[in-house]
Amino acid sequence: MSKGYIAFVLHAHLPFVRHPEYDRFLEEMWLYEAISETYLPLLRIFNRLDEEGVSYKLTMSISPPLASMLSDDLLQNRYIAHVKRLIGLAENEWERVRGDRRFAPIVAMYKELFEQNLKDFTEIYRKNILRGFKELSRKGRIELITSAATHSYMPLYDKYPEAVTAQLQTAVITHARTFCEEPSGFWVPECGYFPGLEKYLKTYNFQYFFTAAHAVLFADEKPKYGVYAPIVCPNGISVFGRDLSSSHAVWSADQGYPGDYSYRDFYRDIGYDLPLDYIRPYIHDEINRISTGFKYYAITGKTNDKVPYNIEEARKKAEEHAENFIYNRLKQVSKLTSLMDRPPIIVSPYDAELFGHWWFEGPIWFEFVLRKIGEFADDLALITPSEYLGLYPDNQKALPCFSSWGNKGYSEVWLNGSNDWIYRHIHKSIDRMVELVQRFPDEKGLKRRALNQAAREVLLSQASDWPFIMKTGTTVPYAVKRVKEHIFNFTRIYEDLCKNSINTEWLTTIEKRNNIFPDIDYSVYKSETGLKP
Amino acid sequence: MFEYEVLFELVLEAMEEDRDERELFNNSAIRVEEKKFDVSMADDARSVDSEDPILPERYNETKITLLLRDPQWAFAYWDVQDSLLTSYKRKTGFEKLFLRVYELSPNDFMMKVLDFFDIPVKLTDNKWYINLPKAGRDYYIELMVLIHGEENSLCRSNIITSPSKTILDAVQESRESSSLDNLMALCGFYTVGESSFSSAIPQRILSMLDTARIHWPE
Repeated sequence: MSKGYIAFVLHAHLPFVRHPEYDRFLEEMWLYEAISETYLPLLRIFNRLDEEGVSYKLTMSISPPLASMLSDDLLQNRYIAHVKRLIGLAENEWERVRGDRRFAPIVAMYKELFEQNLKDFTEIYRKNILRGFKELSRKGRIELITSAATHSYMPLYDKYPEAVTAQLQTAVITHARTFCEEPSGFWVPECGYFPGLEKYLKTYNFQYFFTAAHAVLFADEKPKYGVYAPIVCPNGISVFGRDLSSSHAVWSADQGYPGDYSYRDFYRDIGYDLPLDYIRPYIHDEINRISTGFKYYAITGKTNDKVPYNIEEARKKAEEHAENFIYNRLKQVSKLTSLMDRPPIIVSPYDAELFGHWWFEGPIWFEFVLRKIGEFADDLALITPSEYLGLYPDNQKALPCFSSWGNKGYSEVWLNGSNDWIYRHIHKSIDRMVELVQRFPDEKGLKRRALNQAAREVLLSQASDWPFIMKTGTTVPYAVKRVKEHIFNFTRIYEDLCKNSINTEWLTTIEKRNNIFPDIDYSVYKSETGLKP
Repeated sequence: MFEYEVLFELVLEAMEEDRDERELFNNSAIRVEEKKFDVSMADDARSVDSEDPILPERYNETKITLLLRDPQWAFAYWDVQDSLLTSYKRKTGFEKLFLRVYELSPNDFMMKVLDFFDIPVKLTDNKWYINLPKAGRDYYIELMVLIHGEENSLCRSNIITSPSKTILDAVQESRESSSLDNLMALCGFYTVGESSFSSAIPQRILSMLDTARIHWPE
């Protein structure tokens, strides 16, 4: 028993991006970068700690689209080709900067990173890194949970029970198939909660889910422990609200650790800095300059005159920040225990991709935290939400309020002038999919294939990533195209089924392209199985 | 009581400053999440050059849908079947199309209307953002036409419920039962002590409320 607990929650998610129709595709880089800079480094850390007998535990959600991509043969092989290109680039860079004491160590670091990544990916994980997370779960190091099937932002579908059901049922099936276990917890995409969601979650035997802090703080009953103990919905499912202090220290690039001047600068990349003739083989289509992952400068300050990255200095800073993080959590627990009659739980969720991709030193920081926190086990111990519920099963009944962790705390990120146009089309597709299930309740053969693909296209259209990108403006044309393509594909299947005339060749093409959820059953959109709030 | 009032005002000022700053720099979690999708800084870097598929502009059905965006705003989109719209436009005396926003008591099965207000819209409009006047209420809309001074409803939307609680409510409620400092700690407004190191590590005296806008009572 400790005076206080901290539950780290890493949410790993990327939207389903897979384009077999092209030899290389720009947006597939999202996956390769995350594998190289986040997932493989984290796996190495978790395994190292495990082998050394360091006691740790955390919670991790791996979204169904991400799990699907990590299991996909085409993307696995493309990742291998990608990392081999980067190893080639590292060798060229090594020659180019040979003898330069400022940059040679950095190139050596990247060379080692990518070579280790290739080795781990092919030899240890046999191309499927999910095996690594599954093994850590088996050992009790990680509690694996899931998220919605295509990470849809649920509050904007609250009036479409079949859509919510389809997202949850497909997620549970995918998680069970991938990890051979039922998930006990649910990561609500973007912490987008609407009153009534808990009824759906209960149907699929989830024991708990996570929300933004104000979901709990503004619950229908004032939470006597704030966000430092779960509340229980009337139907018995528990809710853990995010802690703001620990989150802010890590999330904020301006006020938190990632903004430290000695850390690696995200933006200075040789993909933009070096002559095009030299970098051409390593950038997309040999035309569009992109990030290569080779970044040689430190943040330095609010200046364009960056200094070369110092690996050892950054590592020391990460250790310092880890000690600071623990120090502040200890003080936090000390304060909270004076206000509570039980040990508090500090819930600290982060996008997994924060560690390594955005904040290069993040995995190093995290390893220091996991190592050092054990020194304070009597005062602050690592825990999972399931374990906390095991220790404290009786919690205050309250219903959270509508909320998200998006900018301004509600739905504006996913519903604004840049993206509101999508909802009339997606909602219509959902209505039509429900209609199709009613009209074709038990089909076989080609019609069944078409109906199953229709279900996939509807699910894929609902990914929260697309309206998010439209709002934040990173790769807007691609996000727009994705929504339109899925709606178009669904509508074509719908019309073909209405005319009883399916183009087999076209159907086969999109089945092979959008091959997520291979065993999906279109009856997941059946109206009778959907809960009505 | 005086010190409490002063502290209360200082806390709210700090929260307001943080909110303004945060809106300026955007939500940290969202900024980090953006970086997952950042592969090129080139404005013209495109993965594909093929045309986007063409979606229907509308589905030719008479329907209106209401989505809650936040405690103060909702979004409505609608459509009117061509044949219906044509028949109304042809009628002499057609004056206007408008939205009527109804306010109900929350969870009132009798759906007693407490208040309503109108928003004129053009025939070519098909969506609108609606400012919700009060928290903790149910709302729905009707798409209406005015012909010869007579109002007709074309369609009715689903019902939405605007959240009722705000941070101000939570703070004011707690004044009766516990100290503000304790409440702030339980909200995650943790008063961070001095760093354990001499070098400055960026910290704030008061952490931020996660992104919720402060909703000032009327």
